[in-house]
Amino acid sequence: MRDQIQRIIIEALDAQSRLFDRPFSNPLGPETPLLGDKSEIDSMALVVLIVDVEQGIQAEFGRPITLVNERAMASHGSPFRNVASMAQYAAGLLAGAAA
Amino acid sequence: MTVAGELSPAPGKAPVTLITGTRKGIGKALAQHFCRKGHVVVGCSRKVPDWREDGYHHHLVDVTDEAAVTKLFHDIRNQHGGLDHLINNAGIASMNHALLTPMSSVSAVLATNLSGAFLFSREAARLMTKGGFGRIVNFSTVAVPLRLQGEAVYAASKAGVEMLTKILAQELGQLRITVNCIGPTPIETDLIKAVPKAKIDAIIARQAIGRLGRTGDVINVVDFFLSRESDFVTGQTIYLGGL
Repeated sequence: MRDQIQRIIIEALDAQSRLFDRPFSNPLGPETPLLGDKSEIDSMALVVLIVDVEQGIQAEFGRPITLVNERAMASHGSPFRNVASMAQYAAGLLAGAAA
Repeated sequence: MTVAGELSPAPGKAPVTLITGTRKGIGKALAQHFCRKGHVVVGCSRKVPDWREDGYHHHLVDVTDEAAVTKLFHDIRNQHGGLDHLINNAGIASMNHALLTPMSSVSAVLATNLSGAFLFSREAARLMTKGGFGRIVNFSTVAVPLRLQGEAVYAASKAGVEMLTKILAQELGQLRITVNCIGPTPIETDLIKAVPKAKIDAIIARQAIGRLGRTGDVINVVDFFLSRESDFVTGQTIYLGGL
């Protein structure tokens, strides 16, 4: 499940890169940063990414999830640090929603 | 972050237009107008409408019911592939002196007029981000600038809608989604049937152009906000009648 979600995130980043005509300087992968100084996406792009990933997960798994809450958006230990941490977090939410 | 290039609605593709509160009144007139302009029109209300139109798709939805609203947008994405326009027309009024207004009325008016508009705008913008194009039109009222007595809660809810319009315009501008607002004068609809004629006449007397509004006046402004050429117009409220 986590690998599938990771693919959804990378596809969403890639689509966003084309939509906003802003290519990433490095290949997209699990370690691609989403927050902080090394991130190549700004806060608005992160908002759009989260929306795209929520929609992608619903389309693929048939279950809606909400990725954002106050804890998730805190910069310290945020699940949106990079692609892998976001996928891990989303997989946990999805597993919880299915339970 | 800004969107690159010219995007949807793609040339030749019928725009998809969602209008809330289409069972009657202005919502019905707007739905019929945009159907006749070739849009795919999705409408909603709590009760079944007594009219039909080619290109019109109705959903029974309470605009304050988050689960039902998110399902509506899920259906729009599946059935129509996206959304170009949202017209937040649904609204209820409560005209009464503040000292005689029960909290149940306050809650209902705020839930429908303000929370409903926010919920639909949020879900619409989530759909519109994919296309990098979108138009959202909200409904205010001349009761806001006129500070009409007896309409404290209704006008407050619509003042909230005006601020919602301005801030959403800021947040969504980079995504090429415009958010604007129209403030109609009294129009011959069910909403003002209960308002005494003397009160309507007093409102009209304060307008630059002294007459009741017509649905065509509203349609004209909404047409302007939705047009492709209005892509540099956002965060605005246009009042009818010259206030």
